[in-house]
Amino acid sequence: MRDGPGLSESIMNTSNAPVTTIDGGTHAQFATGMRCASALTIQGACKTYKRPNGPQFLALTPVDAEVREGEFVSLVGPSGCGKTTLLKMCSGLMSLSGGKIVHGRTGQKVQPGSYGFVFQVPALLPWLTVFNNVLLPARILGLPIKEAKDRAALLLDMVGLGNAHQKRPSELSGGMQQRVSLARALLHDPDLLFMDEPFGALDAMTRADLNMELQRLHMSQGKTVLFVTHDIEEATLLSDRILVMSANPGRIVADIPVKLPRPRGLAAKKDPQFYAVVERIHQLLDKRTVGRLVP
Amino acid sequence: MTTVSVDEKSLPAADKNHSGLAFRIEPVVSVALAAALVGFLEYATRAGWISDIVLPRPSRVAWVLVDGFSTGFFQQHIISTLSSLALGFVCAFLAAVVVASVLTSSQFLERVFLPFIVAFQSLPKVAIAPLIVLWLGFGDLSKVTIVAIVCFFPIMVNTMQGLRVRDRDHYDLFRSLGAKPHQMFFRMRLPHAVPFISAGAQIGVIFALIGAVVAEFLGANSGLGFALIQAKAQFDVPGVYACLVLLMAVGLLLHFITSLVERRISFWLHDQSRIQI
Ligand SMILES: Nc1ncnc2c1ncn2[C@@H]1O[C@H](COP(=O)(O)OP(=O)(O)OP(=O)(O)O)[C@@H](O)[C@H]1O
Ligand SMILES: [Mg+2]
Repeated sequence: MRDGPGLSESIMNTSNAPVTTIDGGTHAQFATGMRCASALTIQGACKTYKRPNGPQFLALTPVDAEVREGEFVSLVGPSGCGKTTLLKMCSGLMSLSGGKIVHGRTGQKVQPGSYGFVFQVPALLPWLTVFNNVLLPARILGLPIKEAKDRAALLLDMVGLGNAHQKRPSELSGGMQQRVSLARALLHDPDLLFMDEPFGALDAMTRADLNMELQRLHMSQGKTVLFVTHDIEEATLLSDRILVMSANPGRIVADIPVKLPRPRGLAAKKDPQFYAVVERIHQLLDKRTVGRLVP
Repeated sequence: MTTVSVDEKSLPAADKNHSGLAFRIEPVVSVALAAALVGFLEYATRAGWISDIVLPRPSRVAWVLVDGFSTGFFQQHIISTLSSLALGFVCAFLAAVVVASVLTSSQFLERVFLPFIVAFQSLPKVAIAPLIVLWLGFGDLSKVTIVAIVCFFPIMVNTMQGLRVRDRDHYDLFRSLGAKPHQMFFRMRLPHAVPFISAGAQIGVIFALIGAVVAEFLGANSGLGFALIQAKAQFDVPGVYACLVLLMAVGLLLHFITSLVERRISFWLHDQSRIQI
């Protein structure tokens, strides 16, 4: 039911999977009651891009999916399969050509300002310092500025940019800019996070650090995360569920649960289950992009 | 022109040396070249290669300047030109930024008014100057008005250019935070437009000088353009040249001031352009 068209093959986790997969010590209190509530319900959401001259382009065929509260869901798939499109539609930044996407608790669209979005590009304002860029959500949402400043400093420390407060974005490397945009997305402490390849431009070590940091945030604060990545191991390490997508036309082809215990550290990568999932996704992606064997 | 800016210390030593040297030597060469040119003209006119009517001796022009300044004659005219220019420019600047903000606030308005803007832009504004003098009479009011009309359009068109958001990601960022239109304007579109506005102002200020002189030609009782016309009427060629030199100096001064302001307020562009070099 949660899957895209044609994925009878996927291993299902219909009833209680998310609750059982999240069972780290610190967040035990979250794993009760409201945990089962859905954070996002995607029903037949599709997207066609209109071109000024020429035929319409079907970027995403109707997609059904559900993200539960406190769940970490990754989207993986080849370039151009509509991951960014789906993420932007979920957040309400992009209109739907059909279907609907509602916020679980309210049954409404997702409210602007209630979520954090890490864009595929850093999208920093070049005229502001790093610190003021991170502070931007507080200024726009009218949050108390003193607390926001403390929080901005903490977040910049977290992403390893504690000494870059007064720099301008143009003085930072691509990876540093991406980390600033991550700190900015967390400033207003949203429960819901949309992340579009947030670690794409990072070196392996920083990436591993931030992966752990993100897992910690997810576990300790029960944040719901919808995460786009090209890195299958990263997706497997972090996710409760992985939605595998395929291009031409864009769709979800499989919904793969990851039931490894949390917190998952380096040791998790040695787990046979970890490799089973990674292998499975590789297979799915190969079939779709190279062989096109699956209908 | 580049300046020595903050990020210089992050440049490798060789680069720093090079740019530091280049910065000090260029103005010196420029001044030396100007001096050589004046010296050559002085020699050429003294040797009789060029007629006095075409080009008076630079030394004679210098004397006229010294004489004019000692009597306060030039000061009076410079102040007259500069004050109308400043007043007209400031009015035009404010009006241009406000009008551009209003027009770009909605696609509907922008589309409706675009043909008018194009039409006015393609009209040489000094051509309306005689009409303005007809309406407002000889005097400072028509001078200020002509200046304002002449420099309004470059500033407005540039500002409009800058206020249109082309960066989809910045736009998405603000929308993801639920920013209100005024927040988008003051925190994204206006800062984004600042380099465009100052580029417009830089062109505008030179247009303003042209406007002021044209207005003074058409009818005024003071100003450098007026002084120039008077000198011409008396066949005082060195006087005409003195006015031209002063106009050039005023133009340089205005350019210098606006580029100083420009560099101050759109510093982030310069950071980027420096790194790209
Ligand atoms: N604004 C747009 N107008 C027209 N077509 C678009 C637009 N944005 C995206 N597309 C098309 O929609 C498809 C999906 O784009 P999308 O950006 O969602 O891909 P993606 O999965 O995020 O890819 P990547 O991994 O490269 O970021 C692409 O084929 C792209 O060409
Ligand atoms: Mg994308």
